[in-house]
Amino acid sequence: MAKRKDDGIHISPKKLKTRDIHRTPVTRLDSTVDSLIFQQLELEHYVGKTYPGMPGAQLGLVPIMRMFGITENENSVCCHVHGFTPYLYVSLPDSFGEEDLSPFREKLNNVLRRDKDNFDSVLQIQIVQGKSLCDYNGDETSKFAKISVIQHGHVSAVKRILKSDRNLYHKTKDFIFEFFESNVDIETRFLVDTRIMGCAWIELPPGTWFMRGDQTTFRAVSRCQIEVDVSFSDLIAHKPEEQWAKVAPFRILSVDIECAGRKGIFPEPNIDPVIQIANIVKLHGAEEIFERNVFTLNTCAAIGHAEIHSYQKESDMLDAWAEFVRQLDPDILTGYNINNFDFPYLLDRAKHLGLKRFAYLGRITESPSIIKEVTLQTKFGKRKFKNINFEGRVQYDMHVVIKRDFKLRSYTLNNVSNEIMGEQKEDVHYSIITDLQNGDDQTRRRLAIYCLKDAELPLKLLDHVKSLTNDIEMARVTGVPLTSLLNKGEQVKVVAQLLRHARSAGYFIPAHEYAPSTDQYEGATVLEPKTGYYKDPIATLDFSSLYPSIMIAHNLCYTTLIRPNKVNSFNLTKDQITTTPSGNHFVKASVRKGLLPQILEQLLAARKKAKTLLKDEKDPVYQAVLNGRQLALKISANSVYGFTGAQVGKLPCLEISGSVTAYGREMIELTRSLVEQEYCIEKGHSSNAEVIYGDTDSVMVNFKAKDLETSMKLGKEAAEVISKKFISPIKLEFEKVYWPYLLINKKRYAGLYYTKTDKYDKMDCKGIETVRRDNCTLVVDVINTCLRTVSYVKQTISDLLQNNVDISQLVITKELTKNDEDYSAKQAHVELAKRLAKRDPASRGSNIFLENNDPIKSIIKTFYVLENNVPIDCSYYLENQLSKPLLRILGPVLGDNVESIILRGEHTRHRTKVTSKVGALAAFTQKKETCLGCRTVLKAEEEKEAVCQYCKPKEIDLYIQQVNHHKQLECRFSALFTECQRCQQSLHEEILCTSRDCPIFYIRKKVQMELETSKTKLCPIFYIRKKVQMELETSKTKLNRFGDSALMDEDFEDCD
Amino acid sequence: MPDTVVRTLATYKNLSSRFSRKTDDYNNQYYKIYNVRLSQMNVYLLEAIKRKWGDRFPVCKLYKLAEENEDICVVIGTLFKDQKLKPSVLKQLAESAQLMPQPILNHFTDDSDVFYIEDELQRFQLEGLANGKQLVTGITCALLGRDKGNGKFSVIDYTYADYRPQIERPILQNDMYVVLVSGLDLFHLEKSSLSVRLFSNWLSGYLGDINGINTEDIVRLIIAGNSVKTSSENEEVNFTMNVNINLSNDSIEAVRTLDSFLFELCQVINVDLMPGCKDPSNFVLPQKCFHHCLLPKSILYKTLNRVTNPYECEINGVRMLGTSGEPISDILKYSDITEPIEVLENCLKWNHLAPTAPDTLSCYPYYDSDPFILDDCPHILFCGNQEKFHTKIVQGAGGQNVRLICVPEFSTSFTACILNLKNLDCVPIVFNAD
Repeated sequence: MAKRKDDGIHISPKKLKTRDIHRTPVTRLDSTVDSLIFQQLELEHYVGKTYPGMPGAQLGLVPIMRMFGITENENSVCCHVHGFTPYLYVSLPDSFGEEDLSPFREKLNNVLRRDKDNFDSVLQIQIVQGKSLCDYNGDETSKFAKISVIQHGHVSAVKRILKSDRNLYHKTKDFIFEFFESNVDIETRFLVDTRIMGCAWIELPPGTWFMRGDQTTFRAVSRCQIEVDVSFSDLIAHKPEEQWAKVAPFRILSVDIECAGRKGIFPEPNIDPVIQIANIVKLHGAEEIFERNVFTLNTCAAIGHAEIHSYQKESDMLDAWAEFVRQLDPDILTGYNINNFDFPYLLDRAKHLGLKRFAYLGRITESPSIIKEVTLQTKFGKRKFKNINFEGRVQYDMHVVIKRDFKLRSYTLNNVSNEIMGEQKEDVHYSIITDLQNGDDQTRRRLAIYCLKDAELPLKLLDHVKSLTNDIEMARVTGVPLTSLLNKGEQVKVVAQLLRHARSAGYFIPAHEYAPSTDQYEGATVLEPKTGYYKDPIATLDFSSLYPSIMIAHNLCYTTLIRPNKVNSFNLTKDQITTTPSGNHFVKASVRKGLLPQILEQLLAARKKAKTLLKDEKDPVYQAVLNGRQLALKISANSVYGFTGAQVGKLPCLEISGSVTAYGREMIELTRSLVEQEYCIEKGHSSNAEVIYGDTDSVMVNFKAKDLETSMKLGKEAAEVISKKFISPIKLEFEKVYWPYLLINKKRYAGLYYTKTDKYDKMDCKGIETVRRDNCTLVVDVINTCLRTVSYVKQTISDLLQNNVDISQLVITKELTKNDEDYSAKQAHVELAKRLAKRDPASRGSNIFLENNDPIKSIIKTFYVLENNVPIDCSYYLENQLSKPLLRILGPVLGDNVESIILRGEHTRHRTKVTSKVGALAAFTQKKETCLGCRTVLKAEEEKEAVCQYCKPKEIDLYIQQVNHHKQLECRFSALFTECQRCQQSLHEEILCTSRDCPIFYIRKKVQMELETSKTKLCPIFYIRKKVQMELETSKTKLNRFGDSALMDEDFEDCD
Repeated sequence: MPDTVVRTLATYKNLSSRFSRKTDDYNNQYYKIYNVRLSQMNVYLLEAIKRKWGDRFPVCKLYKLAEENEDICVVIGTLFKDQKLKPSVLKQLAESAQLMPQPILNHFTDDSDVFYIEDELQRFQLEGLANGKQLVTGITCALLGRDKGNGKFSVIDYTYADYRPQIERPILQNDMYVVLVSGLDLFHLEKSSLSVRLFSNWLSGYLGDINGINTEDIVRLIIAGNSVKTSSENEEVNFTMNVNINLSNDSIEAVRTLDSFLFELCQVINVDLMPGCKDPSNFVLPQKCFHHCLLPKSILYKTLNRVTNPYECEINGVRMLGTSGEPISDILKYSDITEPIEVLENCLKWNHLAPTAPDTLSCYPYYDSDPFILDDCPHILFCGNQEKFHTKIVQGAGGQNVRLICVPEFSTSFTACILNLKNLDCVPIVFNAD
């Protein structure tokens, strides 16, 4: 790029556009008259000295809770909450009385003191009356001891002692203690006891709180504007309703860094410098971006909408950036893959450069951020990730969020933004990044713009999927801190709810010890599908919230379960006990209302309320909040069932989950027989209804109606009639009609989805290869489309065999979820994915199957395949990928001879063999010109001609064919390249994008290559782009062989 | 009547060399053509700025806007119109996976369209661009306004490069006619065979004079594209990887008919044959002339002059420039201008023959020059394949007189246009067999 000339003199310095990024100053606060109200966002505990005048232990080091949040005025708050003591419950022998408390405590303390300091570790032991959550044991309460300890660590110490030391106290000799709630972490414990929900508004009434400052005895330790101390008993947590439903304007900082890597090597913090850091700041709920800037190493030309901070030394840049973060004081840090790349890289890099102050990025002044490796077991499998402490700031990595909430083929930012927002993003390959950095201020500007876009996209995603709003609501509904929604499993949410309800109902939750169990319960039922292709409308009847409803209707709970041996122990009559289809016994609600049903009823009622409110709400911000809430409530209600069935969970109870599914099965069966009894010719209907399939919570009914209206009418009617046969709140609802409907097998079906009679809503495909991730895109595309036409299938197969498909569609991605050792047999893609993971950890492995190679070698970079015309193993794709799904799906439509139609038809005869440009044989071959018509080798004297003498009469035909082909390629060439130009949002700058997730990338490349061939032949968007370019080249040469079209133009000039 | 009629002679010069190229290189991207266009137009725009505003306002590079303290200034750049309805390969690819039929649009403007101005380095969103509905992507212009920060530029006034100087038109003593037709659509000859016959007979002099026009004074026939076809049925462009060579060759017959048609005409008159987008030539502009192997009979006559699209020539000192109509049709799709003749006029003001190329109109990836820029003003500017005949004389501020002609499709209108080089009068003649 031409360097711009400095025209004229630089008189004025850059326009000072720097805005003040500090938070608004605190208006005067007087703790004696003012309440302090803030929305809590982060919570943690630390061990510190007691604060005078607070409840709890007065000596030694005690746990102190630290809450971070911001006020409505956007002032940051750090609130130290004192006096909260950790505790656990244990069962007691009946003989144990009040008089035993003191000696028992003494004994315990003596044992504990051996390995600890001089303080009493056990602060207090109380006798409390209550019931264990598990099993119905009559209405009698029994004795429990609440043992309060000074520090959280002592909880497990007490547990250990009571378990092992049988002779600790004479009255408990040989008594086997049962432990309750000993495995609850202190944060959850605190939130439950103080009734604080996640992200709740907290009010500290006047006179109860004490401000910290530079002068006070307890110095301020945080960077927050307001830092206070309060007793845990004084704070008020508001329910998130009415005025407290609002969300404070949290500062969200999105970050993206660029590193100057070396060719072919993924950047390493010990070697490769950080060259740019882009920052986008937004206030939650605001439309406009609050601040947009980029820190660059070396100069960078001005960018219209963003501020540039340039530094000559990397260390200066990093320090300045850290200072920027501290000044900005963000509440939420986001970005894409920041947890595993950007932040660890920055910290490691700063460490490597010896920057002492850099790591102090959190809100606690003297606490540096440190990277820890954590392995987490979630429902998605075992995952290793890095954990960094930024006290007071929530790390909200969109990569994690998207992985949690969406099932996508690939989780690169590009693919995610494409699939979720339909936006393509320019992707600059990291090898080019270094070149751009080493150019001039204009190339660095180019890089900065790219970097800014990468920082802005996660924010756009966050707004688009409303994940933060939804998560805040989830935190409020389930009462867990926001952070645990991202880095903890599903179960914490149910545990928190159970604890909250158990507390008020007088139950204690047993500390379940994880014991591997071989118990199995039968899963959901599936009615045997009557497979086939249905041309009649198929009505679908659904049970709404089936599992929660069953639990409520039949009062299934831990607290109502009666063990078989105790069925006769409590003088209960037969009417008071429900025996579930799976043979378990539960007492009825008339005897004792179960806790889970109560929780579920509340959740469902709250959801109903949220939905009603949502209908009337006009403000889009609150609409989003309410919608997030009703979603959170729905998910929570459904997760209760899963919790009882999770065998590695906190408190599995297979009796409950087994009963729930058993009821579900029974209900589906019942529904079937009811439908078939009611809607038959004998009852005056025109034909016999038939239930063709039923799954978990829905049944598909073929009323044999010929039109939508009738089918819908019957569906609605049937839902109402049948609902009456079930116990409230179980309800059958009519939801949709499929017409037509293709039922392939269990959980595999497709159809057009109607809820209105005039127009279908969508094409619904379940379990068909369209949504499975371990198939290549080609399969998805083909299956989707062939639902419409078989000829398309034939064409595609033919194209595949003729090497005429988009290479990007042949890429198979598989993700490794296990550790290396777990894969005993090393599959090819595992081996490759490992290799690739080293290079680019964010991606799933991309494989392409080539001809006659061992699989490991066959996996070469896609691009290489394209550029060198390496033959692709077409038969692999046809036989291993396409054939089975195709046969499955087309079987019901085409009948038995489907295989011969699809896989062995005329269209499979014509195959194209590609000659590789690389490989041993290529070196020995010599290219001879052949006749474009009949492909015979041209004689030496004919070599300049396009066709042989015998094809000469057909020359026009051949030319037109070739020119039409060339035309198509040219058309694609221009469409693709202009699209990329538009996508990168600049007409005047070169397209550098090499995004592998962009469908155009390959097409572009291919078109270019084809054009070269066609020119010599035309190209797709990168691969396609390239291919077209190559083909155009080919096409061009072929055309040229007909001779220059402009032949002898000059001769005709001045003709008269 | 004498036994031999001698056709009036005219001097002829083909000025289209910039539209033909020796080799094709598809390894270039399109950004180069925008850069070349901007730097070439920059010169013309600076003149225009001087004419319009004198030295009152400083001319500022876009990337300098953020650095300098100018309040009101002039910026020069290329317009980009971000249109949500603009067809997109990406959207098509995404939709191909869905089954929802997408509405087919032929006009892509919407109230949400946003304008940007862009130079080599920087892009600014425009606010207050009053005549946005008339504009399209690719126009190079100068805007007076101020930087509003946040990447936005507020427009107060604007200017285009405007008409280039025109060479003087020679004074002709006698009438001298050039006939223009387009869209013969010989593929569908059944609809128009009689009209084509009439037309050819007229040119050959068999019909005598019509409307007082001496047939022997007709010096040239220009066929402005789409002689073979005007529409193509199954030429739906899809953007998957595959390009299938279409083996059916239904247009061969039409090509043969064209050859015969030209074979007759070339015996009596000079014919300039321009390709159109549906003809068997390449797809991108400029289109190459018809290949000689397609016209084995007529090629023997020197009077057959195969030319490029766009095409520029000088006949007896009168400059003619025109296209087969693609740029005009394209601009109509992406702006709210309704009359093709108005688009032609605007092209003169914008000083560009095809501003929407390459964005929405395919063109060859030029890298060292933009052949679509008008370096001087023609006397006649025409475009082929329009729905109706339309003509107009426009005048430039520098005394330029330009005859604009929209040549209608012959296959539907049976109309040819007759232009008198002496006084630039232009009239249609309808060859309706009924």
